[in-house]
Amino acid sequence: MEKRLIEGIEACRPLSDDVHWAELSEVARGVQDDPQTRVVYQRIQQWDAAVSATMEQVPVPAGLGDRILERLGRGQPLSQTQSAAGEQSGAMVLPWVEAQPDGASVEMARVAPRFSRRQSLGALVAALAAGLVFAAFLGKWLQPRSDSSIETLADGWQQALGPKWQDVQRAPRALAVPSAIIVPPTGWQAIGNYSSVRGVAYQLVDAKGNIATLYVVRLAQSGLPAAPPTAPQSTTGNKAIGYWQSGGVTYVLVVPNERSYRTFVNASQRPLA
Amino acid sequence: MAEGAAPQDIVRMVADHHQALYRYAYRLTGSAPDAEDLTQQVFLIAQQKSNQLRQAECVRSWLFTILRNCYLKSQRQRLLLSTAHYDFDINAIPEEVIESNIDSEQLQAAINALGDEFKLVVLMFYFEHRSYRDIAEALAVPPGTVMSRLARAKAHLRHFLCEAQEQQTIREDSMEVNGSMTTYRKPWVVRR
Repeated sequence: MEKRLIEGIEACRPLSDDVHWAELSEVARGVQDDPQTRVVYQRIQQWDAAVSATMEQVPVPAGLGDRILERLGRGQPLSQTQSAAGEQSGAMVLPWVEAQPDGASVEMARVAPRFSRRQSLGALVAALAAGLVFAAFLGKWLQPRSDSSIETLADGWQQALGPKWQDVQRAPRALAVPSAIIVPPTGWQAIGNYSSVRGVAYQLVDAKGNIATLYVVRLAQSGLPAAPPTAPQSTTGNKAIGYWQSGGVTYVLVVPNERSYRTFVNASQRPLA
Repeated sequence: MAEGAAPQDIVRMVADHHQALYRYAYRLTGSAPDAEDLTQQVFLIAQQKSNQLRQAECVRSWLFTILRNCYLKSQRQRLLLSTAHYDFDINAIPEEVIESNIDSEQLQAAINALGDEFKLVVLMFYFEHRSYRDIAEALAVPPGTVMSRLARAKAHLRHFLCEAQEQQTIREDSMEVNGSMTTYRKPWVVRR
């Protein structure tokens, strides 16, 4: 296989339509006409999707966000703000986080980051213990943080949607529309760069012409229902959002309003876990 | 503070993006302490230069750019290593691969072995999900150069990961002979 063709195939991002770009027309032709090129293209796409997902498997140290704010002179713990990414550590209120004069904290960050980290390790033990107690009392209360993260993500994905929808037959099989969705999709596209989450969006249009979007994403999120909820978890003035998780894939259905939700999804009748 | 982000802006910025930046920094540096320092440095600069951010929706990409520049600055004194040539080998790509087939730590070891010019391209492609056009523009190099670096770096990653897996399989086989298989963890099980 020619080097130029291989480089073209390698340059196509997974779950994207890069192959249709004019300068990659040779790749597109090869994928269309040559079985060997098609196999190479598909294998590399699949491999790239797996590498891309693995790239993000890096545990984030507990309390990192708070330590950053501390050094920026912002003594406000992240637990008082809302993290769109979903804080892995639980964003606890750390005892050493105090407001400092801006200049002093900036200087400290320049000269002594490692000293501060050692301080942080000691305090982290105490913070973790406090956090366990905190979580035991407020475990149920913590759940909405995850929910709101999904809504924030869904908002970002909606805004990043492009005008061009691709042929559903060519959608990635690993991120297919689940059987609970009762309206057939009319097109799909890879979700934009709003977040690092990988996945695709499907456009759904019901018999009345209502348009919904289903996001099928690789997103590790605990506490989600295993089946579509009977009613959307979130409703605002102009949209309703329902989400669930199955087989390592998270599904987020965004519909124009609460009433139309059930026209798109065959929701579970059993109570949610 | 005379310049920089409003307090709530920077708090929000840290809340929304510190995890992604840390993960990116870790993949670049291969070290948790260095990644934390780099992440902190990025927000320090972001706070000071927030007036340079023209479009709020581009904040993530802007932070990634600062991170890459900080990293390159810190690496300037080091000798850049070029990745060896690896010929394209279809057999190096498994027929079926899912996320859990790839060991995160072995992937990091493979990235660590790349020279910076390859490492940046690979991370911009896999982590930032940028097209080769975008990468070329951001790094101010011709698109053909990006395509070439990308192909070579990806071939290196596959070669490295396949070799690591083969070595692991050989070790497993020998351990099976010794009857201690039950205590050994398969390498392709992702550590979370």
